[in-house]
Amino acid sequence: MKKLTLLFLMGAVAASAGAQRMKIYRGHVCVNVPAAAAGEMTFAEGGTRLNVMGAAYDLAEVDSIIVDRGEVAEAAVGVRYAGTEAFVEMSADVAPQLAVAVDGAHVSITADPSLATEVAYRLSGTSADGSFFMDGEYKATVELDGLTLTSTRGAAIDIANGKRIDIVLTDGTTTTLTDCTGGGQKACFFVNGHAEFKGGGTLLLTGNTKHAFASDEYTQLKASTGTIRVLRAVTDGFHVEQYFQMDGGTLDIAGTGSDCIDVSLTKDDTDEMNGEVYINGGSITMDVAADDTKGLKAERDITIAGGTLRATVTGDGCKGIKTDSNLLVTQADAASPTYIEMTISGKTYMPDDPELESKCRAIKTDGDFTFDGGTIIVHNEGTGERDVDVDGVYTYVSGQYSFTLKN
Amino acid sequence: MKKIYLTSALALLSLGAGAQSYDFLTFCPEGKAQVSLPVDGLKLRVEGSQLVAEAGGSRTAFDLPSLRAMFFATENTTGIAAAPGRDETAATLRDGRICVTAPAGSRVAVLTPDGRTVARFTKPADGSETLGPVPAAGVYLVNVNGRTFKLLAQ
Repeated sequence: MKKLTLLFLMGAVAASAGAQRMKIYRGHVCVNVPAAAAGEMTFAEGGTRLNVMGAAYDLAEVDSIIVDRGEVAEAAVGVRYAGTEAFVEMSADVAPQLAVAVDGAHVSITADPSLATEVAYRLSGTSADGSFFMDGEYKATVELDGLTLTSTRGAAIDIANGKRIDIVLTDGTTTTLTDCTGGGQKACFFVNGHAEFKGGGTLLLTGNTKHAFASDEYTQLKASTGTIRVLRAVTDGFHVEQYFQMDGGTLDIAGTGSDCIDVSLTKDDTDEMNGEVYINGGSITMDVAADDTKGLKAERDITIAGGTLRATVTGDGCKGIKTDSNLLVTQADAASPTYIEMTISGKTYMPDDPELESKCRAIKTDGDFTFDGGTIIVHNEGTGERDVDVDGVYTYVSGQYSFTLKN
Repeated sequence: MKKIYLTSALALLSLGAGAQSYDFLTFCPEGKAQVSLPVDGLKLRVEGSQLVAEAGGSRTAFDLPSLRAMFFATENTTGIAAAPGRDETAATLRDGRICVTAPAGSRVAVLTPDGRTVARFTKPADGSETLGPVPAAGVYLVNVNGRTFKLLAQ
């Protein structure tokens, strides 16, 4: 026991002899300078400016400079929301290329086009009147670390950066995002580029103006993804352009005024997998309640090769799965079986225009439907219609099923 | 078991010792002697035309228009005079060799980021001195009289 104590003490001594850092505070923004990288810091312009690691600080704007012990991760930005305020800390190596604006708890960070380093933005804390806007021209990571954010001005998170954005849900945390009503934003959580979700945390979304989540390029849910839950959306739960791919995680969508997952074409015909859906694993649960809406909708092919998809389709004229093109249901790996179960009870949607009449179906394809593996179960609770409607060719190869077909 | 504990203890100690520790922030007023202040708890504020440094109850004020630079240091270099021509201290890399410019008598140490010493000597003469080729590509920390320069050999 004596030897263990000695070891622990030595470890404590070693740990406490950590690296020093200098923290430059200007209002709600702090720049962290690692002492080992600071080099010579020069004063200029009659002592009114301090040059540190390529950045010039106007000393009239500097509140204080503190030296303490702590590590400074490279290319890192932390945004901590605290009620009506937000505090931003960034590492000195990228500070010269980041323009930061803080207005109450509304934070805007724009990276200079010359920045060629992936910056990791970590968002945490709570605000009932705040938001996060980020723009840049290099891929980035946004980590949601137990953030609770409600915006009264627009989107809760608006990422205008059109590159690859890793969205990390910190393990063991829950992030809750809510946007304002009557705004001009496309979604409560918007990504202009391509979003790749990972990390085992939980994300709750409420879209009070339009979609809960939207991306203007593909969205992927990686195998490590935790839980994403759409609580409400005026229109779509997930509105994705280009393609949607899910390899894992849990995606629950309810309370939508339009489709749960809507995948549409981009304007660029050369974009890969344009308009397509790939479900390879994980679990999707959809509550399709609004009339004439779809659970999973795509303008091009839908391929379901693994994972679980459940839908409750109660709205009139609704579809559990709808594609303007082809559907392939298969089972790529017995270890990740494909299981689709839907309960449909909606009646025929009959608007004033008879051309828009729409029947309630579990599955509707404008093209072909190939069923080669997995399980499809449809519970029809009196829609008066066939469960599955295939305009193209229906091909059964293998798999278990319980549904009626119109073909 | 005894050997395991001893090895672990030494490993832990070296882990702590390997990280470069800067115990001082050295201020360089133009034409005056340097002033090194301990960094623990150090706080700097601008008060009018002065930069005020406070730590542990002590207070040091520097005239900002006369302040040239500051840097983190491993040693207390208070009192080292900024003599004309002799204050030119620099470390650079040229053709894979470290070149140190410093006055005669300057204490020079070349270290790797994990704390291994590559070279340690006292400069025999004023001006520049070029050392042998660096052992490998990577980062080198050149400490001259407590002032550290970070060089990247590619």
